Amino acid sequence: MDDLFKQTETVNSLLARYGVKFGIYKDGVFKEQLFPFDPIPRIITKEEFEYLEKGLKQRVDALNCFLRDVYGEKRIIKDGVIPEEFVFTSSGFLKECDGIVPPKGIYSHISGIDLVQAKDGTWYVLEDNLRVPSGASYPLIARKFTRMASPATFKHYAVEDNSDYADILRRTMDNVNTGGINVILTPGRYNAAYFEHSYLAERTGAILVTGQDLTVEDNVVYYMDYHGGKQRVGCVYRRISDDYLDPMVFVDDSVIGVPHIMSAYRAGNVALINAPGNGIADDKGIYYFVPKMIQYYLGEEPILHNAPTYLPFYEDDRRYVLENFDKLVIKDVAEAGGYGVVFGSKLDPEHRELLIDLIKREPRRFIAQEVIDFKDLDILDDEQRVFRKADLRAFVLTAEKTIVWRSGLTRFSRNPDSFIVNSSQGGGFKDTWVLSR
Amino acid sequence: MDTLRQRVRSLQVSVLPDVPCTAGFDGFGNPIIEGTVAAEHSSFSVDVQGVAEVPSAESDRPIPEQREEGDGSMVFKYNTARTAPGPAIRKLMESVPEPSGDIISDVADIMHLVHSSLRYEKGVTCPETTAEEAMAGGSGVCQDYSHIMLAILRSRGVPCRYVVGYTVGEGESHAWAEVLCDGVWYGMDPTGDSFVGPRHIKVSHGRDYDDCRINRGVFFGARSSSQLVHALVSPVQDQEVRR
Repeated sequence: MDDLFKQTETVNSLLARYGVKFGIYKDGVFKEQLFPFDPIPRIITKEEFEYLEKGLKQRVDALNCFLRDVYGEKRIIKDGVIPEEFVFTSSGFLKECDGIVPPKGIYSHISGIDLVQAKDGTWYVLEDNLRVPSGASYPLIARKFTRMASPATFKHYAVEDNSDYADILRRTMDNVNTGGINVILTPGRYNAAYFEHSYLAERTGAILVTGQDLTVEDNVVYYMDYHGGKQRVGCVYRRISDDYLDPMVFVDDSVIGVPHIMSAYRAGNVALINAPGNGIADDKGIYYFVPKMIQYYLGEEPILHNAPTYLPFYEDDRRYVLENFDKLVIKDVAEAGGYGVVFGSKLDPEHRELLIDLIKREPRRFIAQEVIDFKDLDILDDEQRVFRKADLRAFVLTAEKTIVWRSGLTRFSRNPDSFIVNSSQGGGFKDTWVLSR
Repeated sequence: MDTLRQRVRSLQVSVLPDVPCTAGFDGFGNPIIEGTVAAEHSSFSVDVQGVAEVPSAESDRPIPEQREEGDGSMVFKYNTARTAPGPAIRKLMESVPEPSGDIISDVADIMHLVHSSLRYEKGVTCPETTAEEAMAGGSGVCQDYSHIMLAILRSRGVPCRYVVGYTVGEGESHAWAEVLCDGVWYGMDPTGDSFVGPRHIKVSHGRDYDDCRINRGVFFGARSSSQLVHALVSPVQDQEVRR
């Protein structure tokens, strides 16, 4: 692997040249920055991956069952497994989607499940991302460049190929396509993940479009090409959040969405990947209930664990949270991307009181978790190996059946004191190797 | 829309520029008509005319509006950002009479309370005003009366929804509330302090104002726009309709 380390610069310059960038908005200003790549891969053994694979499939299948249920019969609420206020007061529950059954009944086609490994080797699911999870393109293209820069490395290690992501993604789109072309709907080049949108379009043969390239007539979505021709669209892999998807239904001053696309979707004339309304299943409050969903829908014991989580909504949990405030991490359920995450022990007395007050007043708004003793991964920092916190985003795709991609995005924190690995907070990434033997 | 209380006898919709329109339903079951004008245009208008049949006399009991067969009411039990109570509404809630056991009369009491606690005044609040803001200000229009009534009912766990429609007269649209009782939705008008009856034509319902706007649309182009709304509702005799 030393050869690969020597080639780090080569790989990073290839990534820069190919525009593998990540855009962030800071204080209202858009900045594009490279997503720093670390050459030391996260290595997952065959046995370990088989375990993760089983657990992830189970989890995503249960989450899809939940979405079908919550926008349909709502049995899990009526049976008292999930309190109804957790569903109906969540900003993730979209009444506008109630009663819609998407093509083939699949809601989460592309799920990004974030895991961490504790020092004792136990894997924990930190969160499920079922709306627009990004990041698969980074290990995908990084692998390509590391193979180019250091082919010898891959002679020594039996690494599962990860270039099949595009195929799996295309099959996922084709599976639900209602007749017509596949498109990837991007907000445009100032989006944080624009590189990914364009790269996945290129690799899957889908057309990269913005909202204004699409039009809806009589509940059918069409792509208007540059010659004024019209092609029917059967599947939209949209990289726009629900809020901005259709100004006629959601945020009404959205200029990046497609007016009337929700009506076409409701009429069953187009597949939307992922389904709008999925935010209810990856709500931080609903997360607590995922192990219960697995038991409820699949009649199985959860294979993967949640990080130990408490809901201040329940009195017992609230008492525990207030008594153990300093050893817990508190998360605001409405926030994402590493924002709204607070370590109890790191608050000054004033903010501590404020937060405790807020938890007492709005218990539904927070979850509290035990701080997991992460197993740190080594990264190369000026040729020195140093240890940093890291997580793993596994990509789970649901077509005819659910498949776990044999790779994943490993993100790490560059700051030695930080637990937060989100790319929007300045972290870097690693390739994830799954060994084939 | 057709309900137990009202029947749409005729409806003509015309849009200019003239484009094909598609009829359907939104996520709340409200009928919608939608379309796209692709060609350049400098104005856009929708003209809707029709006749709705409603009961001819006021009633001293609420009139059933719709039956709730499924589980669609769950979502209407919880306050939204617009109806979430703050100090002003919580204070008002202290004057709500003790529950009597009869939901309808309890809700009517709340309607009377809201009606008498707010001063009707145009131009003080705007479409973005929340229930709490209106209550704190002490005055508002039908939208504010309705939001405040919903805030109180929902705080007590009563499923209720916001309704947009028209009332007899000339001007703009009207809004009121519907309350679910024993599987039936009843309309209550806190602005007029009356049960929804012969003077109301219902168009749509939702959790709050945002869910049931009469017109929604976007346009692309670097021009400013202004909107003019005119509504006229006048009673017609049965014979005139039958023709």
